[in-house]
Amino acid sequence: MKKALIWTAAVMIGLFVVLELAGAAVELMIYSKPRGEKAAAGEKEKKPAELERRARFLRGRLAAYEPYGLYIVVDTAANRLTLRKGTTIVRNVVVSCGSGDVLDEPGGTRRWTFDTPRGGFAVQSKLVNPTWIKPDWAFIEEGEKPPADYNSRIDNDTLGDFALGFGDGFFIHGTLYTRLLGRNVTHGCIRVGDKDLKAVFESVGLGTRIYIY
Amino acid sequence: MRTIKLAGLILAAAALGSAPQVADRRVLIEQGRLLDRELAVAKSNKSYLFIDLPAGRIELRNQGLVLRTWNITGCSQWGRLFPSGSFKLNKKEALRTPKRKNITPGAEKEKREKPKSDDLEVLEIKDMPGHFILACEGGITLRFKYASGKLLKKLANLTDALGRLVYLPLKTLAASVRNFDFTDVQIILPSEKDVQSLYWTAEEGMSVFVLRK
Repeated sequence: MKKALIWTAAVMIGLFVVLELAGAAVELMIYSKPRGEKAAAGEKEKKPAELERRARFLRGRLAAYEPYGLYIVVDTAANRLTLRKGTTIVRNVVVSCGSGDVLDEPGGTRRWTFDTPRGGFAVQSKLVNPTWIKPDWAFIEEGEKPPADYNSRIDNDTLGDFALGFGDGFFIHGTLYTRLLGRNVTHGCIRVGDKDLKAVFESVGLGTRIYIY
Repeated sequence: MRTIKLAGLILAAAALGSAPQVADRRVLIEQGRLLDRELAVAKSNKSYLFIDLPAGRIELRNQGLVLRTWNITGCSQWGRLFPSGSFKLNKKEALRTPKRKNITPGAEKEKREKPKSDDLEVLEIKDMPGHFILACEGGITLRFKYASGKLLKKLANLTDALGRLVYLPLKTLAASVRNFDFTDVQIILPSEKDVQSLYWTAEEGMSVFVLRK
């Protein structure tokens, strides 16, 4: 019995040592051969103070890109629009963003993916009582043929009271379907409730930065 | 004798104190390099991910501006050590990738006229996977998952961990012997929602900055 216990302990210790050695060997492999680029010429000779000075200078240049005054941030996953100034959130609004659905033109080659575009944008237009000129997909989606007549494309109701254009036909605008705020249901535009839209519209000017992710 | 001991202690302390300076220099060099690259990316309007492993956070940035932050609760690495830098995100992989819905022309009209929020077939954050991989250029793999308190998930994680404890050390060994680029970083986020929102945010082709430990 005593012998068996001693043997078990010895095996356990042996196993522990082997595992520790294996772990150390793998760690050695990870850290002994760092891959990738070598330090640029002169980089290694620089003193930490010099390196810190350069980092400060670069941070300053990067900070110059930060928006001045109010800016808009849209989280398409959470369907939230925040109006911010520096790191302060001035207003937090529930919105509706792109559905991600795909529409193929029957018998055609065109395809539309209804995603809200992502990246950095700027307010390019501010419209009161905006008119929507319906694009081809709006008719195709309804199973209709896109009309040749321009007047048939005019829609004065859908976009609500205000619209902020940020390029390529995308807008932050009002909605008739307030029940769907907070859901991903749009064709790429950002829908906002009437009261919030008015507040956002009145707060921002042309050129205001919009960041969408 | 006491003076000699004291001098010895001071010298030892000085030697120990100088060790972090080397690390500081390395960190400063890498930070400078990252800032250089970040400035280059900031000239475009594209968003990028900044994974700061020493600070334990992931930031979504656009032109240096932090749009969203995720905290890292755990991190482990296999393979060869990689330099801090920016890497192009080549592929977003998951066991269960979300599928986009194809619109049937004409079928949407009724839904839009009588919208109900519960019968929507749209791509939303809840459809995103709970763990996924970002395959970056240079053979760098970033695995994201969340720490779950549920028993089933814990068992699944255990199975996964056992597989990893065999496969990853062997691949690390192979990478070291055959000298090919392989780095596998596992990052654990606090909740499933965090992983899902990160999956939503990450886009193929975007830049991923990684500041390593």
